[in-house]
Amino acid sequence: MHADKARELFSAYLEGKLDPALRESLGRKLASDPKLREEYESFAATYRALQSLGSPAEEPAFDLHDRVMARIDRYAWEKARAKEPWFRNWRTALAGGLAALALLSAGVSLMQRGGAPSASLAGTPAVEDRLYVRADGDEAVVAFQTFGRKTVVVREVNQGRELARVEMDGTAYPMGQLFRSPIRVRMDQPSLVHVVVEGREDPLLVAVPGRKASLPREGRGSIQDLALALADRYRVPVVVSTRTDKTDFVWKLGNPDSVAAATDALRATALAAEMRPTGVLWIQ
Amino acid sequence: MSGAEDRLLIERAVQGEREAFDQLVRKHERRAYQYAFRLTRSPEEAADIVAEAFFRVYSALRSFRQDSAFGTWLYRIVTNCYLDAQKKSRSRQTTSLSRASSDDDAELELQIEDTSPLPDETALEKERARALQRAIDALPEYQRAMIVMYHGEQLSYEEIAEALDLPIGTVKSRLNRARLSLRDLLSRDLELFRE
Repeated sequence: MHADKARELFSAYLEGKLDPALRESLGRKLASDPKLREEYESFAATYRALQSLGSPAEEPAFDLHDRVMARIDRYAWEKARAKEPWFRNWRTALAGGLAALALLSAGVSLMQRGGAPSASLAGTPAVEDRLYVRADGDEAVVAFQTFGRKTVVVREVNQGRELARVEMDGTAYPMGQLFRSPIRVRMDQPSLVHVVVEGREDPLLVAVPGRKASLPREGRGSIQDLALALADRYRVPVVVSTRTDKTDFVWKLGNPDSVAAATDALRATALAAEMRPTGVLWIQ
Repeated sequence: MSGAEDRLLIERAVQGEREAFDQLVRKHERRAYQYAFRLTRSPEEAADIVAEAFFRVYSALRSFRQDSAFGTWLYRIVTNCYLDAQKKSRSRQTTSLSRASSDDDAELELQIEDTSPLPDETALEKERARALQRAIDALPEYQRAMIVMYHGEQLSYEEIAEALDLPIGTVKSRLNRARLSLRDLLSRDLELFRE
């Protein structure tokens, strides 16, 4: 057997998939050709090393699914828009131009609760801007998805201090490649921050833990005070995506389970707490 | 992956049910991502490739022939997206947008490289993995995809043949050639791999 032919059979020989005659022939060749034998041994070592490729599993990004679906929604939306008759596009453009300020101040349907977008494969889908919050240790990471141009501001609630300002241009990314500018929020002291999309009036309230727990485990106060206590005790960002006038929440945070403790504090209301897969405790 | 369930989801998605397509994505995105990540070694690029792949799936859903498994079809599309992305990045010859942006996750990814020699057994493992990865990265993209499919994704020769639309004999011979190339690329590091 020629050496080149023998090399072609290395994989099958190693995997035991050669028919008996070829196997025997290659075996004889390897036994009689030390250089080829050495080549085969290094080939086998490479093959064994390749088996390790299957082991490490990389966790997908927390927003992978949303990123995929945002792209689909955007495509469906653009396709549906392109099908509209030209005079409708013209009218839309004119109306858009005249009412630009009004549109900006009203914003488009911003979804803050992470629910499923309301777009549909058939018909014209609604394309929505979205805010995402995830936990990274005791940091809150805020990401924003938009199909237009928007500015997102993170502001400390108590002193009104601006912590971050990110200008997002969703139109710059082809077909909705998003989430390019996550904002990390790390605070020395437990703090409440507002995430505001400029032009909108309903900021997202996030309680961020400080570097170490510093608040009493028992207390009474507003929903903001409760969120702060929960963030401090359980070392997770807490998002409050609801408004309530109730100010006499009572909490005892002895329970090691954050959701159980939050649920207990919310029991006299219609509010609920859940731990999202993003590691954020969510009250709504 | 359950073929019958996939077929149902595809039929519903073609009828216009967004929820069905959403479920289809949920079912397969993780595996697609693992594959893309093994090819690119970059979380950001892998996510972009997966997003592009599902976009192509969505655009071509009506033409999908139900006689092959959806998972296999998806492998083919992810492979094509990867090959296209490589082609594009070669022609651009510039830093990619994600690397240049303020995406701190991407920046963190860039911090993990450590090329200094390490003394203990774990270090040896790491050194092996690093050498192997360097060699795989040096393969032509098509060979790399095959190596990752077979050794990383544990696909059979038959599945790879179906995914890449190639005769099984061609898959076997190309994989053998890819392994021979890897052996040559690893020749300086082969001592690391001898038992």
